[in-house]
Amino acid sequence: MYGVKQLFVPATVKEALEWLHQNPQAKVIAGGTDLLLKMRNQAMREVVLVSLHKLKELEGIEILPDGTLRIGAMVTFTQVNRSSLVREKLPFLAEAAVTMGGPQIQNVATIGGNLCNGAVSADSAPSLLALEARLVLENREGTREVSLEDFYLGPGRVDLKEDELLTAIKIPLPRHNKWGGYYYKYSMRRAMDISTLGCAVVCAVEAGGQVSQARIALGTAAPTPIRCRQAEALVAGRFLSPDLLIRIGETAAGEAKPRSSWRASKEFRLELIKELTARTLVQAYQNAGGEYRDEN
Amino acid sequence: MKHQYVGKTVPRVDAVSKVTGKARFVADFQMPGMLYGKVLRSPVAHARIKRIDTGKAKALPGVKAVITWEDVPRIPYCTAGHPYPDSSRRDTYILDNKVRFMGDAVAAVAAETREIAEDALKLIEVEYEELPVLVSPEEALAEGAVEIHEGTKNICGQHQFAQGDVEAGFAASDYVLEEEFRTPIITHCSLETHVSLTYLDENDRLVVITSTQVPFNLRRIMSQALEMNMKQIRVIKPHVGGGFGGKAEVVQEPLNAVLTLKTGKPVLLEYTREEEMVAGRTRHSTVIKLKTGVTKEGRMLAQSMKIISNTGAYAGHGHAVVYSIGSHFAVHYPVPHFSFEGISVYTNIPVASAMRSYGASQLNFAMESHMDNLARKLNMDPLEFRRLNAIKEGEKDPMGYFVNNSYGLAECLAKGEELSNWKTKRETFAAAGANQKRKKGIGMACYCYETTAYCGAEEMSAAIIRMNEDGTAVLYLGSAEIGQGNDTVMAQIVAEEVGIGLEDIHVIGVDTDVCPYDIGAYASRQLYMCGMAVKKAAVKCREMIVDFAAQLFDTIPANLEVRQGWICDKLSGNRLITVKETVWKAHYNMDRPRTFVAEAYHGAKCNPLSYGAVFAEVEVDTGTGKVDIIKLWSIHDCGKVVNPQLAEGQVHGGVLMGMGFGLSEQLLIDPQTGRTYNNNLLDYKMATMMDIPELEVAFVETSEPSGAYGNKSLGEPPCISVAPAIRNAVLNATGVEFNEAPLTPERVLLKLKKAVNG
Ligand SMILES: Cc1cc2nc3c(=O)[nH]c(=O)nc-3n(C[C@H](O)[C@H](O)[C@H](O)COP(=O)(O)OP(=O)(O)OC[C@H]3O[C@@H](n4cnc5c(N)ncnc54)[C@H](O)[C@@H]3O)c2cc1C
Repeated sequence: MYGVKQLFVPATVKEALEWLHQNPQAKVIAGGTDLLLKMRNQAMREVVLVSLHKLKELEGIEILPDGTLRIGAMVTFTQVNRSSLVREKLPFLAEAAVTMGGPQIQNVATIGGNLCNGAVSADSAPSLLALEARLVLENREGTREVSLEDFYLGPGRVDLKEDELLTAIKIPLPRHNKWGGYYYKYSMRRAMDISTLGCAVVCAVEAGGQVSQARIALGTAAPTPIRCRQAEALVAGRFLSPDLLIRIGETAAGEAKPRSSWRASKEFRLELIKELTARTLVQAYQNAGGEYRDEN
Repeated sequence: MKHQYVGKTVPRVDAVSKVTGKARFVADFQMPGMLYGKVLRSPVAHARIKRIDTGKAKALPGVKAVITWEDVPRIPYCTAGHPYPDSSRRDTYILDNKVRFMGDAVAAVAAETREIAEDALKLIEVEYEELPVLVSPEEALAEGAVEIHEGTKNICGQHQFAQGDVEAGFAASDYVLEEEFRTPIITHCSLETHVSLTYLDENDRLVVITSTQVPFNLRRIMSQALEMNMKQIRVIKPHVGGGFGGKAEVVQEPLNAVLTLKTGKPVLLEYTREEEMVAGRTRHSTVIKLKTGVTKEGRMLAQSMKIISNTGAYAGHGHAVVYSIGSHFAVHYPVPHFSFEGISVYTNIPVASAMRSYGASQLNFAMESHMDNLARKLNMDPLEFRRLNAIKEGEKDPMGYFVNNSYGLAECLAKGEELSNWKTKRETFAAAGANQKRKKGIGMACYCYETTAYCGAEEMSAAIIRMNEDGTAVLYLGSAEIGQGNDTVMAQIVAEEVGIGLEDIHVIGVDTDVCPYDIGAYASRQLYMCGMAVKKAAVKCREMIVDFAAQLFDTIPANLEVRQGWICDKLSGNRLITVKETVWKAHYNMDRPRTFVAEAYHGAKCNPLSYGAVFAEVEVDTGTGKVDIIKLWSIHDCGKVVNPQLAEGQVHGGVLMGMGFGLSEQLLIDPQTGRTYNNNLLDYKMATMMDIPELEVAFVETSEPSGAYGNKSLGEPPCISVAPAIRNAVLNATGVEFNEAPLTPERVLLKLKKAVNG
């Protein structure tokens, strides 16, 4: 049914990279929740698989000496959600993790697979973009780091070479003492659904209540997940107000490039971008300790 | 009378085997040498097949048969699983030289593995001569449109009727409202897809193990499609993973049978989910025009309805669904003047056919939305407006299809009003202010619905009870358990009437070799029809046993009665002997040995109405278009409830189905190519566990005089009024009329924006 030709289960990253180098046509399998679907739909046949399941180096969540949070590529969404480190340092990310799929999927789907798959609807992408996460990519020749933003090349395309592995995601922790984040997943169902729109905002708040800085990211709003820098610029140093929120939403909508499909029209998606960018910003602001009375 | 089993929640007879995974569904049957069937599906929506070359496919190692239209009997048959005569058109061949929708069967393969069968499909070469693709009824009915089925002008069926003088009625009205409503293509989403296993037994009889709601009609239709007599065919229905009308039909069994006949081998043909959602069955999408005349005081005087139903590429149950809509149309709100026009149209889309409520969901969405729109224009409370116009106790069906001898509608409305706190909420929600982004609303809808298939089809059920020597029993049913609890309630009836325990009864259903005839699991008829047959058989059985006991005790049967498993002396109440011991003594008896086997049938020329109402409280997010259901109240008059837990379960499932219809589900078709966009459960938005709202179920127990225990229908009704109740709650919340289902966030948001921006 799945047409697996060969399965290789390396014990170390080194072994995996060597093998990938020798077998560039091989496919990496992590949780398999994207890959197996493609195989079942016969988008691929006679597949040679390299499993990452035994690679201890790809597991775990820790704080590195330079203060960044490292999440191994094989960490599952459930693990992100349950990690006390994530809950303490990035509570909104822990919550965002369980907006994807359902419990069964969260238990096997990895954060690395979510990013490498390159889907514009990937639920981890907006939050990680807003956090300015960087990806650690390795092949036999060495290691490189790219920002998540640069990793996305186009629809379904990522900057990942055939012989490369994503080994970890590095997240610089926000240094501001009053900061907060929020991820708003908008989908038709409460579980087992892809997002029609995903919006993440990380924002820092001054003692006086102004937003000192906000980072706004959208999923399923353009060919790849995007940052909305113009909207971000608009909010920096400002107090939130109904007027500002409307302008933020409109600016974000201007930066996005949604398209019409049978799943949703462009008109609808633009309305959602306007509404949800503003809502997410307010929520992130409140999570940062900011006080804003929302008329809703 | 006090019952021991009837009216009680008892564990399902299949509970343990199901939760332990031992219950066998079709695909669990494995046979030595079994092959796997696969169907080649058309990549175009409308075409003649000019050439098929199966040479390469046949040459693939492991392939045992490849069949095309040239290999099957050229006999058109009707796929609708009703009794003879066919209720719909004979327009289907097992395989044809024309394809009529994208996904239509072109050829079939039987091979040693699924993978080989799939590979073989790719090796079949087909040349198509493409024809214009007609997706909408408008296109199909246009002058000069190409005919999908020759000689039909793309009309699958058409009828009209009227009473009084509808135009005069409109003229006499103070106010006339005419509106159009649209309903989407819905699909059943049974957990188990269409699947059958066919093989030849040692006498070369064709055995069909299949997931069906209609074992006997399936056998009859197969005997016609394959030109075999019924003795040559044995149909076995094992556990079935849901049907909802999609399996009240002969969808793929004849094709599988040909694979078996060609190879002589068992063949398993199991649809994938993606295949099921294109090549299974759907609920008809409809366009419904309603026009109603009312007096200033809100009394309805005249009503007309015109419906266009899109039946897709083949009739399936086709126009029979529109007949059913017509029959329910005039009875819910009887008016002196009414008229109805219905047409079912062939198009190049997946086949629409029977689905839970058989047209009533479409009718009810239109009618109950229309009622709220009318009430709004009249400035009346929608509940009061219904009270004024709905069918009353004792009132006759103007068309005479249904009987109204047990009436609970008024009480359902009253109960819903009270439980939902209707009056207060109508006032407070309206007063809450227009500026809120999240708006609350409360709405309701109600229905009346059939209990049998009469007089659309003959009505008959039968049952056989055979007492084992030790007083346990086997119950043979023709009526199909498909998950709804049929076997359990029938066993409850046997236990009740014969005087043995529920655990003493083994149910066999359905095997056409041993079980008695039944027309099938549809029309919400089983407990009413088969329940009565089982009761009759059980009473016969008890009488035979009492008869024998009377001989044992040298008395006459009239002096005895059965109480709680004992045969007692009627006068003194003294327990004489248990039922079971009596049966034992009869079987092992030198003097007058005897058996107890009772058969009974029940034929009815009667169709009682069930009633119900749904109340819905919602919150509409006007910024995102989302409709959140805060709570639903689902209230039903299904006569007496025979098993409360099963009844409530039936309501839960129906409510979710109705909720999907109202808010999220729709099969989407590319208007140009006829391709189905969302034939998978990711893109077809059926609710998940997380989407289930708070739900309160209540029953208004009337007593139906013609039911075995006062019972009437509950199988289909719970899905009927949910969508319009939600829709009416949204109207209450936003003041915007949504006349097309489902109320997807996109539809809601864009229309709300338009309403605000003008
Ligand atoms: C029922 C269901 C629901 C879903 N719901 C959601 C949802 O709500 N939101 C969402 O975002 N996604 C959803 N998905 C998609 C999927 O589960 C996620 O994208 C998931 O994170 C993929 O991770 P995985 O470990 O299963 O990846 P896999 O399927 O194993 O791999 C995905 C791709 O990434 C590559 N890859 C994986 N790991 C690495 C690595 N370390 N280095 C290099 N390449 C790698 C693989 O070769 C493959 O191309 C759903 C899937 C299913 C089946």
